[in-house]
Amino acid sequence: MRNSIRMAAQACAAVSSLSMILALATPAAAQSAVGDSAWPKVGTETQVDFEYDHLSPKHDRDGGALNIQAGQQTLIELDNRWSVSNLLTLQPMQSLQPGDHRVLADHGLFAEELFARWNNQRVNIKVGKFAQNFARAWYLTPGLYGQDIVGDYALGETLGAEAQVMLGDETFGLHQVSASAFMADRTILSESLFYNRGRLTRDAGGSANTSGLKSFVVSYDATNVPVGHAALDYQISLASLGHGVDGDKDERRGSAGFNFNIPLNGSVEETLRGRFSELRLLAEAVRIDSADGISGQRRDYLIGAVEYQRGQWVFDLTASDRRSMDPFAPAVHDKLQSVAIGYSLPSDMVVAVGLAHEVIGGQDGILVGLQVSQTLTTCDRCLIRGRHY
Amino acid sequence: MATSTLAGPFDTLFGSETSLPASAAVEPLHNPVEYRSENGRLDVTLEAKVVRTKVGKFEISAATYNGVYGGPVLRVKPGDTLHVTLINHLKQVTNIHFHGLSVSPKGHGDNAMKAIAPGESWDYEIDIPADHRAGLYWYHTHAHGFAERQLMAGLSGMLVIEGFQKAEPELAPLKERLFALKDFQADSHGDLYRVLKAYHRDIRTINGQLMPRIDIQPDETQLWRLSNQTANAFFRLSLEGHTFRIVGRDAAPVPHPETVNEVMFGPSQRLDVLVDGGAPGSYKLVSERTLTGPQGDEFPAQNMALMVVAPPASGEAKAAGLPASSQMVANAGSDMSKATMTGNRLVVFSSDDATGLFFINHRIFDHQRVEVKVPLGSVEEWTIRNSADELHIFHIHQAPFQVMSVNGVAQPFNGLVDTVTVPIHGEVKMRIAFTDPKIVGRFMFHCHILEHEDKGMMAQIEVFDPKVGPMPEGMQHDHNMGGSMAGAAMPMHDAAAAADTNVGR
Repeated sequence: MRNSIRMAAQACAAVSSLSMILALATPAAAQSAVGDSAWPKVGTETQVDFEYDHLSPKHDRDGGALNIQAGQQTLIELDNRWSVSNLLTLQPMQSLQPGDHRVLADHGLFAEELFARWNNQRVNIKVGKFAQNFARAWYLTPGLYGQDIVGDYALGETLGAEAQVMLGDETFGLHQVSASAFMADRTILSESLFYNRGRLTRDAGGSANTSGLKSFVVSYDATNVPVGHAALDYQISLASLGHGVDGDKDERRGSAGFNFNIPLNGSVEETLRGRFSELRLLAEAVRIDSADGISGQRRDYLIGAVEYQRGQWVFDLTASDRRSMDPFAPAVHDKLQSVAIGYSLPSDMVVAVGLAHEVIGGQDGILVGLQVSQTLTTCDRCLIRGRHY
Repeated sequence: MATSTLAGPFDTLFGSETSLPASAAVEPLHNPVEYRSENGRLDVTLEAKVVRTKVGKFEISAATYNGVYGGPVLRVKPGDTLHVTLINHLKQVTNIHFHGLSVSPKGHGDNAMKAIAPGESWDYEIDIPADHRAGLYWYHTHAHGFAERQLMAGLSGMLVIEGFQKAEPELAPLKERLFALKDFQADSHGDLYRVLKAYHRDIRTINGQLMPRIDIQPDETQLWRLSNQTANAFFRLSLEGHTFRIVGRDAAPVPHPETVNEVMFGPSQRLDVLVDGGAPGSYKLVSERTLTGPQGDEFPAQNMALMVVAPPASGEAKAAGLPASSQMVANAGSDMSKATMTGNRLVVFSSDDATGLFFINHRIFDHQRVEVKVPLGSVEEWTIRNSADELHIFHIHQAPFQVMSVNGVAQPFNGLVDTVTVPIHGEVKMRIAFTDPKIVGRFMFHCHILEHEDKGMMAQIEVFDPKVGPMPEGMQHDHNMGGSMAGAAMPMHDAAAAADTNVGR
């Protein structure tokens, strides 16, 4: 399921200043040559979200925050096999707490991804900093708040290497197996500009914060498996994360999930009239044993989401559940239900509103938010798009 | 001098109207310049060059053939020889594909693998078979990696093989109008954007004109020949208070004309439609807003032309009409429903959000790889599957095909076509006869949304003589060519490399 509300972009008020940023971000070299065999080719894309969230806990003070979340992705294709990819992210470095009243506060800019890639369309190898291919709901769940709990188990901010191999042909969809070895990023890339979150150190502990590549993920991904005229994706993942200095046991993880895209009104004619409609279902379960490297500590996650798109409108419902078991503390049951409605404008701008009810650490809260987002492609393999024809 | 008052890049941010009003329709619709064959031959030189071109009130940096943004019209007859000398004055490689023709893909034929380097020229010698289907075709740049932008800049034109109206005599007396439908996205200086996106204003034209006037008499019926020569845009055309009678698709007459309120056709598709004048008055021809899916593009509505229905002026002859009750039954060619299939293939269109690349069977185009090898004499059923969240439009060179089913729903025989739009997460089954010895050689099949084609969604097929076998891997047609013209141009990859050294920027 595409995160069609999250994956959106920006407000008109910021367009002019954003254009300046984009102009700076577009490499000058990108305009200096033409030719299908002219390498490198550069692509840059910027996504900017403006979001206002208001938190109303039942037994505490209200809070509110106006934030920007921006991502600048650059892809440099060195030739038809090698490429380098970078994702710079600007976002608030602190989550919204009761009583907070923040306007564009605590924003830090950091390199979320920076890796080299080799691929021949059947084998794909990545080396560098990237998010691990473990579970998918943490980036696929739709809605303004759909990812709030499941974002926990994203394995981002890691350095390592990954190989992904395509199996067979696409008769029954695209099937791939991937394996990676990694560790937590403790390089300068773990710091951030503006609001500096500081460099991760070995002493900070945590899973995968090891002295070498002692963490591993193995995943099986099936994509676009035809089921009638719908498309099914599913993934099964296993992971082992080496324990940090504060742990006593390696963390073990398993996940299974699917998303199912079912066109309801999908004829060519209806699509062209803007009446395409599709139902998207998503479910995922994740178990983490020896969570954070502590033996006996366990977390279980379960998430389900339904998204309905009709033309420019998108409606999302999500429910997520987290159970934390600790041998020395009472079990905690956190949950979140959310709804969101989004509308895409002709410019690819998406305006969305969301509402969520959460119970976190036994405390009830209501979240209300408005998001305006825009994706801008500033350079699209632009070395082959020279000034002259 | 034209003004350069194009709107800024964000003027469609909220879907603001970009249409011209009916009052702007002053200039009559003109046919682009035509070149007609004589004595069985058409010799024409096309110079591809950058020119500042006036389009309505705008002036843009176009790349045109012979300075004509709408594209020169080439008219030939079955059995003629079409000889085109292409001179490349551009700073990029370019070439020409003769879209829809069932002719040789080799050497100086319809060889879209050939790229003509900057400053070079190339002679295309196309022998149109005497039994070739008459109809509306077109020719356009097919330079992989550049095709989208070169086409948007104007490098295309209509190719008419005459005789369509003879096959359906009731059409013969009707006035024929040609519509080369193109679009461009340009900045305030008239330079085309490097990145073509919905937040730029997409301006669509007919024969290079904005909002022309189309005159018709009340009792008149006209044959409108619509050719979508845009890089990426789908059209959904409506005509106020009128219907269209579709009599041809992709150059082939349809067996039974279909009356519709709006016509929809994608990049590279052609439609022949009948339009009746009706009550005197003025009626807007509107390109309605179209979308191509959640991951696709949106094209805002635009007024394209104004049809003015008025009685003939004194001294003017009464134009021919064709009653709506007319029952035309055209010969649409061979129905392959009962043909014996010699093979089945699956073609999967997909894309990768992370890299922005588009795939056929999870591979991007490689000029050295032949994806499909088919012995001459084969009749195959292909399944085209769209695994993306946007429409794709399948096209194969040289060999027209019959659409058998869409998403499992059987389709009645409606003539052979050379393009078909594949629904999102859907499948189209089609049958293709590789039985014509003239098409032996290597050619392409691809998505005709040229953004997708440029980014990889293209593959090669080779139809080979089973007595000889396929060509060795990596070999180009040119290596099989003798004669003085061999080597006058270079394979795509070499030409592209040469272009790099000629940029000088």
